[in-house]
Amino acid sequence: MIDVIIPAYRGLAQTRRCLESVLSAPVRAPHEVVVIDDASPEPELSGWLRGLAQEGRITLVTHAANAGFVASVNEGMRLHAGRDVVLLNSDTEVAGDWLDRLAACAAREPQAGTVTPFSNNATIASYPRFAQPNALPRGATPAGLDAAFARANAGRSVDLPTAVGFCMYIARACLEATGPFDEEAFGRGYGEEVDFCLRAAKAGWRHLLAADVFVFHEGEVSFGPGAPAIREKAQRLIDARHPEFQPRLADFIAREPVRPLRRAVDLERLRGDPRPRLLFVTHGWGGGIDKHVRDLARSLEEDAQVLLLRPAGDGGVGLAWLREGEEFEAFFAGGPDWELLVSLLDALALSSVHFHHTHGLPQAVLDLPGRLGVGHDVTLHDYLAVCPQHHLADADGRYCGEPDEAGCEACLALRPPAWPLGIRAWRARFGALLVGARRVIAPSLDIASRHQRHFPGLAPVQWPHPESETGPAKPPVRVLLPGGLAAIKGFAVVEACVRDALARDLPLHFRVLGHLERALPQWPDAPLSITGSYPDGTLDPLIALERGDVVFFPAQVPESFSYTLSAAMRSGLPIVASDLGALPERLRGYAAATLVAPDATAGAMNDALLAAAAR
Amino acid sequence: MSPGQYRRAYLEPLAARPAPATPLPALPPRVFYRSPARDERPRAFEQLFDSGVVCGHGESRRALAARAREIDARADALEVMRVEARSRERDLADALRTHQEHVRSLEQAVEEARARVRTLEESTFWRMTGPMRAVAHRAKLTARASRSLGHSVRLLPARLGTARQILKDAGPGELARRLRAKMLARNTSPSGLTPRGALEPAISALHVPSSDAPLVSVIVPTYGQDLHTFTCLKALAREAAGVPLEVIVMDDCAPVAAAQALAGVTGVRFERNAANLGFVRNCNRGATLARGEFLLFLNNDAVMMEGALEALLRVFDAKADAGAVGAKLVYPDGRLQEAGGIVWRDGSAWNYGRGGDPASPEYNYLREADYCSGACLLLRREFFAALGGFDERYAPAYCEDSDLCFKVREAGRTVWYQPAAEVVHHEGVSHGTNEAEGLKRYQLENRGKLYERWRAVLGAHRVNGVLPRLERDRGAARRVLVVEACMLTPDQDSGSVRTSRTIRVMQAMGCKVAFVADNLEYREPYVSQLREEGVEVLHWPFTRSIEGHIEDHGREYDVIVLSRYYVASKYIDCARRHAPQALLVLDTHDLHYLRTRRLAELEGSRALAQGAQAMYEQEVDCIRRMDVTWVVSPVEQEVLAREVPQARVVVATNIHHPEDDVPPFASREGIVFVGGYRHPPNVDAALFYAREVAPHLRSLLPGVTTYLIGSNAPQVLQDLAGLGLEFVGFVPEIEPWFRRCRLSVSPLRYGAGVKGKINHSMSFGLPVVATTPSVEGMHLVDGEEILVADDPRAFAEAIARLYRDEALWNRLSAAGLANVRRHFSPEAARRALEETFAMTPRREAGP
Repeated sequence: MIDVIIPAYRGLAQTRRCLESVLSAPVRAPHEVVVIDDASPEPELSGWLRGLAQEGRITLVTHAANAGFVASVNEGMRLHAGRDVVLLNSDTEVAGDWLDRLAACAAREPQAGTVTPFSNNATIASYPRFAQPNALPRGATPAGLDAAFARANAGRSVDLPTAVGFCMYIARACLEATGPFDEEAFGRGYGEEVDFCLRAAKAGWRHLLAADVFVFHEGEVSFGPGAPAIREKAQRLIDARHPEFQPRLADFIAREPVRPLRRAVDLERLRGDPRPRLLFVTHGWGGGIDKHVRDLARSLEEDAQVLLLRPAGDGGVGLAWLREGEEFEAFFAGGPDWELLVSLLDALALSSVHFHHTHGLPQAVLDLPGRLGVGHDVTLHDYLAVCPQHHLADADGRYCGEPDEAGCEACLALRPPAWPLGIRAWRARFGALLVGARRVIAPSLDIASRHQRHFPGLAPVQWPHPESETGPAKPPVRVLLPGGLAAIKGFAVVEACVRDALARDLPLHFRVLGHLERALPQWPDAPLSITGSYPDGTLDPLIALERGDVVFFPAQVPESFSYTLSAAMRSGLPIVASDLGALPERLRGYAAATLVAPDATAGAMNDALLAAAAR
Repeated sequence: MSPGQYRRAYLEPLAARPAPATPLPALPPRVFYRSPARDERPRAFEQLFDSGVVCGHGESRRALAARAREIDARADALEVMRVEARSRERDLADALRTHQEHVRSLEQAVEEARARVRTLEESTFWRMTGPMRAVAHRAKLTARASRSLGHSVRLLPARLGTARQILKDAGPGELARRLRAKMLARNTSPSGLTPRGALEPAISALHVPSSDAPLVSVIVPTYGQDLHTFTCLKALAREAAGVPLEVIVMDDCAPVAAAQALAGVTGVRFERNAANLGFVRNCNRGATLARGEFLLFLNNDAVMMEGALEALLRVFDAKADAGAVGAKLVYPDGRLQEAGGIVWRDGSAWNYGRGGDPASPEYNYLREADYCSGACLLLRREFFAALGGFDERYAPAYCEDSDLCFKVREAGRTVWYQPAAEVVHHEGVSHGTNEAEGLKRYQLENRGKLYERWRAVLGAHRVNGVLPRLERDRGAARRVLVVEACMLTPDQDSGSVRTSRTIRVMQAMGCKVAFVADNLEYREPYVSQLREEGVEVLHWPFTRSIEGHIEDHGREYDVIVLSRYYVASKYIDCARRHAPQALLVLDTHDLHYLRTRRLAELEGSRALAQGAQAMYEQEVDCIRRMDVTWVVSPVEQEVLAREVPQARVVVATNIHHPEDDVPPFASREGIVFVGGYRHPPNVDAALFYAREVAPHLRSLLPGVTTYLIGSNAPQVLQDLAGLGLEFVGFVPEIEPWFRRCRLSVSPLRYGAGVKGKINHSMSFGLPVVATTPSVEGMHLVDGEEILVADDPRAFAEAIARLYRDEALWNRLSAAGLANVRRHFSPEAARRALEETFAMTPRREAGP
């Protein structure tokens, strides 16, 4: 008999989802669902729980006053001596015969003290991405994911440095030997399970991750404000009690032995997906090709699963799942690993291979479509098919003029290609790829025709790269701020003006001629940029170069003279300045001058700047 | 093209393919971890600066920022380490300065012997500070080298406190000794995990000495496996050298007769059954053939280690209730097989300690066990017969030994596990039966029979696997942890005598006692003596720190006795946290501050007075935080009642066994002074006696010698030996001196607590002449039980009077014995312990 202990406090919807999943799960192991209503402030929640208890579906323990999470858990665990327990947060959802699999793991592994399942939000047991909270992958359900875990990792487990409290199976013998959670030190929860696990570990108990179970966990609903402080306090306490924990955890995170188990599920999900699976082949550089590949993958998100094959250094290749929120990546060294990669791709039943580039990849990559028996597409991003230099550039970076074969051989003798092929063999190799392609996509007529010259009979489709149409932006008013921007020169004013411009979406761009006293968000995050400090005597040409619309002097203290004002006045540009110190005196008689109170609001300053520029 | 158009055109010819039936290839985990690229040295800062700042390359700029943050963080950490190391240096320098000052005050106290003392102290001083200089140096290196070692560095100040305390209390020589002892203790880390008891290479000629009047009859059941039997017998032959025995090899009708296979073995009786009887009946038959007072059942695959048989027999001497005694069983590879068995409520059994290190403390104290394996089990023959032997319902084998052990208890006797008897058991090699195949079945079946037979008794046992550490000492009325400053050395100081006797009284009250020295030392023969008395002695390396032990096992204890405030104060917080249920007892031994305050008065030393004040604050603070404080005399109890009224104070004084057989006055001669010279008041007393009393005695009692007895005497004292004054030094047995000398002296001029030398003398009926400080709190009246004098001449005259007056001598002798019986006997100690145990732990106020 196993007790499933669920402390409930807030959140009727979550608690309902949790309990309904637990009560309807097709679990064979005899178990009793124990809910602790820790004096919930939500009468609907308490009422609903009472209803369940009256129907005899759960055992309900009700507190008159809030006892705290840890005390509730301890009470639950004391309820029936001799039973194993599962502690389950109320913001979880279970599926399938989850409990049977957890219990099986505990029974299978010698000295198993606790068992934790995978979850989307469970630090070191998180999926798809390790050690961070994950949303459920789009279109996935807890039950679907759990089934994938059960299939991919049946009977597998890994030792953890600690269990994770959201869902934790505890063997009674371990509980008896270790004693209850420490209520006094961890009253409100957080850290108590870690303390427990470490105490247990000292007595030789193991903490296991059952790799064939997934339990959905929403996370962080029952803490509310003050959570970071509680967390920090618990952390300090654990560090003090168990100095071995941090190094052990750091080591676990560095080794990350759970990774292959997550990868197995990734592959299980990929294989089970009803959409076409596409393999994009590209190089390891960033730039335009990388942008195109990622844009394309994103635009296909609803219709296909895209895998990316690219160089991974030292002659190896990396295979990644190209989708936001997914983490799958595998690395294959050269040689025998290549066959492993081919068999993996074969088992994934691809619909197409799409070549974007092959720089840095082994020659065998060209044979992939043939070996996998799938059609392929090629996008022409440069002239790699024609020439290993792929830009048609000579050593000095100029267009080579596409000489005859002898000229090409001479060029290659100086700059040998990555694959040891002569120019003729090279072109033959790529020619076969192009001619055999389902489609050769050329983004421009020029690149199509240059390829056709070398590969007669080639008929590329001409598809310009997809681009979202955004019209040319109206240039904003450029506000020049000559001289280093310090507090007395109005640093805070500028900071506020930038924020106001951003908030009101004003057509303003602040341009500091010099440096900032301290870091501020800059373009493209904020309408602010800097030239950096300029040498003495170069301000006049700099102002001319910068082509400002208005010059701004938001001084916060009375200036004595201001050389930079002189330069601004020489430029003849409109000037907006603080009405303080020497500034108003010197600007008397300057036609395009606007004076503002030094403590005017940022909004007023920005309005004055726009007005001055419009004059 | 618009993204939408592009997407539609792109997808048009692409159809999904169902996943094939072929499974995914097995991927080695390594493919999911990127091996670090070969040549990934971080780029130089200058490159990053050029590229990121000068040329505007964003990625380089970000890398530069990250590197800069990392370097800054490291610099911060280094700065913290530097400051910490600095402050440690200061602490250590302060400590050194304090020590130096104290050494100077000691120099004043021994003015006359100044020259000799300086020689002595400089040598010890440098020896003493040597390790500390090394520690200071290491602290610096440690802090620089690695944060992971920071922990041990952090412990330094605490250890320094202890060192300072010892220095104040007992002087530099003692500190040097402790440091040496500590280092030695760490070096002797005995692991038991070494292979042993290997099979002999071949059967050869062997004579087993046998006796016509055997004390022990060894029954060795066999069924083939003759090389094992030979190895077993060879080990037995060695044991036979110390114990008269007979060996009966019970051949259970093996295909090849044992007598034939072992034809070269003489001195052994070979008995062959006409038919295969099975293990149980074979053993029972063997027992009927035996003649010795004891029966030892010894499997033929069991190899006794040296001294095992004597160790088993010792238990029958020490424990009147002993019914059966078993040994520690070890696998040939050195791992522990069984340290006394535990039988759980359901009748299933645990080989306690299986797979562990046989040297681990938890397996090494004399303990009551639920059962000990029949592989090596010693009983009295008549008792075995009275029990009806092994119950044949368990035939052919399994559980008969457990059942026998239950019968032992039913008959009112005890089954003892004796760890000092070690036996290597090649388990499962032979069973003395030809039904090895079906044996597993009997194991299950017999467990059921055992459960049915003893279920009423088993109801009091724990459920299978629950808290084995508690279940192994199921009978304990209380579990007590005693923490002392160092290992108990009862042959060297009276403090150890008191603690070890107090432990014995606790055991007599049903307590299970665990003992640990603050320095975690393991020292023989003391550890073995304690273990043989049933005390679990924790030590390095199995216990890595006392805090760690309390953290892991604090919940197991009902009482924790922490000796001496400077030891106790380190562990109070830890004990409160991890052993909140335990009663915390401070054993002061004597009030350290009181003793030091009195020394300061005697010497007129301001430095000492200040030291005493600091000591007062710490000791009193410690007393306040503990639940109960033990003092040794009512005087100290009164002092504390005044100075710390809220403290619960119990007088738990020295324990002496009153001796009834007192040799008469006429048969005695000489005067005896006893005192360990690690205790500074004894040094003062001996010097006082030698220099000021002895000259008077030479005229009053010419020809009478005073014998100065005690370990660790300083050279200055040894040099004073001369006419009428004999320096004896350490004696292993004090008893003969008390029976031979006519009187005992206690010329202490200061001190606190109870004087062991007086009670010890009196417990042998030996009258004492003493100073006033000596008799404080001892319930002694001048002229009734003792003679008291403080002036050197008066002291000498008192000695002379008592030495000559037989009637006075007889009166004081009898009265002294009576005083010991009343106040310092084990019964008195038991009352103090009962008073202590009746108290409850204080709850700390608020969280």
